[in-house]
Amino acid sequence: MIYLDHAATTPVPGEVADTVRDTLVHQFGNPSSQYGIGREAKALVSRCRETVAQALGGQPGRLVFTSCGTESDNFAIRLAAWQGRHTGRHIITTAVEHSAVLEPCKQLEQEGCSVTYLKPDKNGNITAAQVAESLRADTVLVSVMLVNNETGCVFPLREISDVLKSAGSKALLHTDAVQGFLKVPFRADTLGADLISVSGHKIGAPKGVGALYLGARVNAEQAKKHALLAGGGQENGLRSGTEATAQLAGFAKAVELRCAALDEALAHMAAIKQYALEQLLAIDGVVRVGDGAAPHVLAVSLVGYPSANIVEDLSAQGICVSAGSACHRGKASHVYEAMNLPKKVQSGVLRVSFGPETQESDIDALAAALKRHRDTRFPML
Amino acid sequence: MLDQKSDYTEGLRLFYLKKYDEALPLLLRAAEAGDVKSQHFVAMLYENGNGVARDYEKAAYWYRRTAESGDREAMLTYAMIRALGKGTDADAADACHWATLSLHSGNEKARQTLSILRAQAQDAVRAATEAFTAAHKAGDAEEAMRQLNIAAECGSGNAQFALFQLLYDGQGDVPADKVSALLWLRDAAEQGHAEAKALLATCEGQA
Repeated sequence: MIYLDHAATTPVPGEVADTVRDTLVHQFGNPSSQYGIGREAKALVSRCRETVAQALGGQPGRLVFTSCGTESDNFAIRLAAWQGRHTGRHIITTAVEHSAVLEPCKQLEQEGCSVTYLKPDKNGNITAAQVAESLRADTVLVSVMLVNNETGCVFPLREISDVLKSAGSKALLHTDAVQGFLKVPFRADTLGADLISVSGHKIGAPKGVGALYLGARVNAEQAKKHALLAGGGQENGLRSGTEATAQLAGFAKAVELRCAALDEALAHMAAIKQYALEQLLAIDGVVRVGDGAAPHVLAVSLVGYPSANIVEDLSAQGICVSAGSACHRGKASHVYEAMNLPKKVQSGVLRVSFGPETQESDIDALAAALKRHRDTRFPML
Repeated sequence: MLDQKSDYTEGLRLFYLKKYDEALPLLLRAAEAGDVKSQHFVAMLYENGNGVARDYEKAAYWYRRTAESGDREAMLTYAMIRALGKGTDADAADACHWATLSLHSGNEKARQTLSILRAQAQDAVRAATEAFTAAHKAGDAEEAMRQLNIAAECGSGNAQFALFQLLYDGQGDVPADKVSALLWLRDAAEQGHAEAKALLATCEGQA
């Protein structure tokens, strides 16, 4: 199998799987229990929190573990809307966010909030100036992803944060950094975002674990009154429920492995992306979609050839790529629609995404299969 | 209309009495007036040389007239005539066209014949595919659609699947035609097209 869909999920390294298994079998205590294995489990959770917080460039005490990026996004958006409820009910986000952001924003619209959806340019980019133009006195949340999951475009969080500061806005800045974490270097303490969502399975951890980082402007004590899950008070009272120790251990191990060779991995992915760009654009009929700078995501289109057919055809040959985002299979991508791409370009978009394991030979196989598809299939009229 | 009917009735009576030379003028007159059943008998008389000198060319002509009127049996017969070149040029693509029409009109007998005809029409698939590509590059959607149909009729599973997708929801100037779309999906699946097989299995599972 040739796996070129690392933006959807990533292979779990053997060491991570071993850690998960070891935790399940040997460290199965409940972190809330007062006896030995409970205390060990509590210490384990604490170590995991330190590891992930360190990789994020933030403080462990501000990190809340969740079950996934979607949960982190939902929690962040709800929390920000609640914290700002006396200031206003206006939210700014982008039209190209993951549905984990767009859907809770739509829910809040149903509850009386107004939401401004910033449109990207034809290359998929959003600017801080767009945020400045849309900012209002009653804006309570700006939610802009760090890296777009379909185009790989990196959005200017630092500049957006500066816009909010210079305007004296009380709005919290949330970023869905699920595609940016350990792919596009940043530090929580300098990025300028107040809420940062990340996910484990995009970096080699098992599925079922994520985190939300709460910056200094988030009132954690107040937030407890609007906890995601009320109960036994775990996760600093923000998300009750027995901690998923095995997933957390896997998450921390995956972070450790990535961080241990981060520079090499990023350089390797960037080189692979450049190679893929050259090989794929050399195929007559293939165009680039967007100008995403993230090292692990490349969007291209085989113009006029429905991407669902391509994905099926490649899949039959053991090559895994995504038709746009894997999260909305079968539906037209809202990202490419928002970019106002011609219909035939939109129809043929493929997202190719890389990991530290990706080899040039994988790209060669993809290019050959794509060319074969073009030569044997019939495009849209 | 009455003359046409009485010519056919009398012609048919004489035909079954094997008085072919007496039957032919009556059936011919009704055939020329547009009676499809008479056209079919006239074609048979010319094909078999009954009551008249055997004339494949005239037989082919009358079989074609019958097929064009929508008679699915005649479509299959004319498909064989085009394949064998009896009284007309042999034309594998046209043979597939008529056999496909016959099958898609509900003549299950056409299925086996069509599979044989399609196996012999691979050159036609290649030619149509090349012509499609040229027309598509030139932006000639009408010609591209015509060539796509030829490739599909001649047995290209990829073309059949493309037609299914195109017709299911319609595209550009091509209106949606779900019935035809599903016939092409079935054809593509029978040709072994993996996606068509999977999709058809899903559809049938939901039925």
